[in-house]
This record gives sequence, C-alpha cells and structure tokens, in this order.
Amino acid sequence: MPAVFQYEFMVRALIGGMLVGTLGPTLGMFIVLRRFSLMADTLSHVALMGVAVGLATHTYPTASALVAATVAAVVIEQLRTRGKLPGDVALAVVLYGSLAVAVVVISTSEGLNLDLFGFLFGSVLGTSTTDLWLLGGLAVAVVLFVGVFFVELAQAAYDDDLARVNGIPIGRINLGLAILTGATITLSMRVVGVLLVGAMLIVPVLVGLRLAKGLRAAIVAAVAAGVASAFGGLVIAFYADVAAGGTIVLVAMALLVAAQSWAWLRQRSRRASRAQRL
Amino acid sequence: MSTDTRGREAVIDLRDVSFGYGPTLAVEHLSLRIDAGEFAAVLGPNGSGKSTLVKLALGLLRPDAGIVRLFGQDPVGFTAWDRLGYVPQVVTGAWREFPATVGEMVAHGAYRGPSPLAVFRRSDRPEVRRALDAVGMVHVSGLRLAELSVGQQQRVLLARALVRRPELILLDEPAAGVDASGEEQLYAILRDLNRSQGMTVVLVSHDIGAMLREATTIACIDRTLVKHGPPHELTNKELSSLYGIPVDILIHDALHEHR
Repeated sequence: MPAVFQYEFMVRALIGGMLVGTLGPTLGMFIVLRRFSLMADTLSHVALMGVAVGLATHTYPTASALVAATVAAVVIEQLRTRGKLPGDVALAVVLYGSLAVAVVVISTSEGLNLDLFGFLFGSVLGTSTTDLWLLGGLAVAVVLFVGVFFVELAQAAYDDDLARVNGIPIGRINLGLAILTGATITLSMRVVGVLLVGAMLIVPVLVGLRLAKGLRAAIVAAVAAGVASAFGGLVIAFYADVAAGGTIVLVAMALLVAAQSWAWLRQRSRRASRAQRL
Repeated sequence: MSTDTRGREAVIDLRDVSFGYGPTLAVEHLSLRIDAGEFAAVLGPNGSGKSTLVKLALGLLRPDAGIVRLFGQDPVGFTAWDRLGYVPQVVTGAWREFPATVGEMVAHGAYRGPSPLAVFRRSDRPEVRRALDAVGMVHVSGLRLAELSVGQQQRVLLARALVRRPELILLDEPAAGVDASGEEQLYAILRDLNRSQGMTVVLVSHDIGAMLREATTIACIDRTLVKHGPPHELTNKELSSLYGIPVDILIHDALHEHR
C-alpha cells in the first residue's frame, strides 16, 4: 500500500478532499452560469471573519464561520434581489467589510497566527472526523437540492425573468443556493484553505464546460475534475510537503489548461473538416 | 374575469399605469387592453416603454400607480403560468458558455413544479419534439444553444415558450438581429399559431411594415398609449409623429395574401 494511504490523517484528508471536489463544482456550476463567480470569493472571506472571531473567542471556528457565511449569503441575496445594490457591488461591500473585521480581530488577538495558517492555506492535518461527517451530511443535502430543483436552478441560471414567468419561485431557489454555497465554502476551507476554497467552485466548472455538451454532462465532468484535482493535489502535497490548498488548485488549473487545449484542437479540426467539405 | 361586449376575455389589462426606473417615468398613465385571440403588435421608438410594458404585464415590474391584470388576476400571486409563454430578446454573445442543449432548454420550459426525479428526466420527450417541430428546429435538438445563429436561438426560445401549449405568447423584439428569411419564418410561425390555433400573440417590435401586415391590432406607445386599433386605421402621419421621422407605409399585395 502506498505510504499516502497508511496515515489516518491522509485518508481523512483524501475523503474530505473528494467530498469538496464533489460539492464545490455541483453548486459552482450554477454560480458560474449566473455570472456570480465572485460570490465564492466573498463567502470565503466572510468565513475567514468567522474563523478569526471563533479563534479569538476560543470557540469552534467552523461553527462561527458557518453562521457568518450563512448570514452573509442571505444578506447578499436580499441586497441583490431587492435592487438595493447591483449584484457585484453587494458582493464587494460584504467582501471588504468582512475582511476588514477579520484583519482587526486578528490584529487584536495574540497567538492566532499558527491556527490561522491552517485555515488560510489548507492543511492535510486539518480534516477531523467531525469535519468529514459534516461534509458528508452537506453532500447529501446538496445532491438532494440539485437533484430535486435541477430545472429550477438551470432556468434561474439562464435568465431570471424567463424563469419567473415559467412559475419558478426564483427567490427561494437562489436563497437555497446561496446558503448551501456558504456552508460548502465554510466546511471546505479546512482542506483547501480560505484563500483558495472559491477556486474549487469555479475552476473545475470551467473544465466541465469545455468538455461536455448538456448541463447534466457538464456537472458530471466538473465533479470529475474537482475530485481528480482534490485527490491529485493532496497526494502531491503529501509527498512534496507543500500546502494542500495551493496544490489542489494548481492541479485543477492544469486540468483547465488541458481541457482548453483539447477544446481548441477540437474546434480547429472541425473547422478544417468543414473547409474540406466546402 | 374582465370581458368585452363580444364576451372576449381580456388577457392583458393595464389601467392608468405609471412606472419609472428612477425619477423619469418610463410609462405614464398608460391604459391598454389586449383580448384573447388577438395578434397585437406594440410599436414605438426606442425608450418609449415597450419592453417595460411587457415586464409590467408579466409582473416582472410592479407599477408605481395603476392596475395590471393578467388573465384577470394581479400578476403578483399569479399561478397559472402555463397559460402563457414569454420570449425575451436574444442578446448576441450572451450565454456563450451556457452548456444546455436545445432539447434541454425546451424541456426546461415544460416545468410543472419540483420533482425528485427532475435531474433524470429525458429531454427527448414527445412534448419537446412537438414544440421544436412547430418552429422547425427538431434537427438541432442535440446542439448547444451557443452553436446556433441568433435567429435559430430565437426560434428555440419560441419552442420553449410553446412547449406547455399556452393560450398567450408575449415576444419582446423577436426579430432583432435576425436576417430577412429568419424574420419571415418567425412571422409565419406566429401567424399560424394565431390564425389556426387561436393563440393570442403580443409582439413588441420595431418592424412597422411587418406588424402592419401581420397584426390584427396595433398599440402605438410613447410612454403612454398614443393609438390603439386595427392596422388599417393607422396613418402615415400618426406613425411619423410617433417615430419623429417621416414614415411612408408601403405594403406589397403579395404579402397580404394570407390575410
């Protein structure tokens, strides 16, 4: 058995990573298609604020991050749908506001740096059994949500107005998506790190969009890319002794470059065969 | 339910409606009633409030003043969405990355509430094929929407709107960016839906000639209702005044053959 599987902490990290690789792109697909990619980054900064508060108050940082991300997801959705602020501006306000709180809390607390390092950059040591149970429970909730509300999510991602006129309760669908995204980002940050967790919702989705035709196929391809990135990245991080989050995202980026190159080659060969026919 | 003297149902009824996106009103004291079975064209220059009118009628915007009724009901709280289909403007270049196939797009239009098996439902169902067939697009059902021309995308959105067999269809500038042959195909489909199947068609357009040819009633809008009636009652002078440029109506007899 390879050394990487002989350590319990690595097995936990690999299971956690593959759950993150499934959760992130499943929800990320609808966020990318709504052109709301900054949502992932914003919620990760909100989660960082929750972590900072949790560490400073010596409570469970994941719980405070989960509460903060859920509240922020609801606030962003309300600001956006009620037309109080344009979507991107609402995200920017929440992102900078929460980052400012995080910086102030960190600067006033001593001895946070080491704990915080794991949350910021991700760690193969960071995934506990409790984290796995939480990620597993969330994965069930996300799969059920996307499975049952697939048509609603697809229509809302395509065009808000068109979805409303089709009778879709778009406010509730978007709110459900935002809350589950907040929870996914919070629970994924132990593996990938706050700074890069958003990438797991975006980069594998871009891979899926370049490889598959059809929305369902694109989600399956994105999840495959997410799982492969998490697995490959964690194994490389273990042997190279580097930060897990960065390695996972670099593997996802490599898959994106490969998918883009393949899509480009496919397009070129189609053009060439069309030119031959003419 | 609101009916006229001939007993026809008002599918859209706006009474003294005003709405503004900011301090300037996009629509001011506008009253317009469209009855079941009509092919109604909404004409007006840019910024005259045509698209706003459609969004008000569908409840996508709430009026600042006045009353809006859709099939006799307030659009807020309206639930009988399967009675109508909506075709928005196709924005060139938008949705370039959207991965859904034409078949999936049309199948999504057949929405009838959440279902635990929604993600497993096939797209090549009879109702989807029928709707695609009605707009002559069955052969592209496996392609991504982004692989189609603007005119083809517009017809797919029309198929999506038709898949639930609605009584009313609203189209917001469906011919924008579509070439002459695509335009003629689109109008032929709408003509058939209205004349043969009795579907009410409401069409926002800039195409004065085509609307005078196709529509049974024309509403000229310039923030408020300027003129409403059958096409033959509309004069060059009224159209010139509406658009602020000289308009001369020439309708070739051959194009009238279907009427």
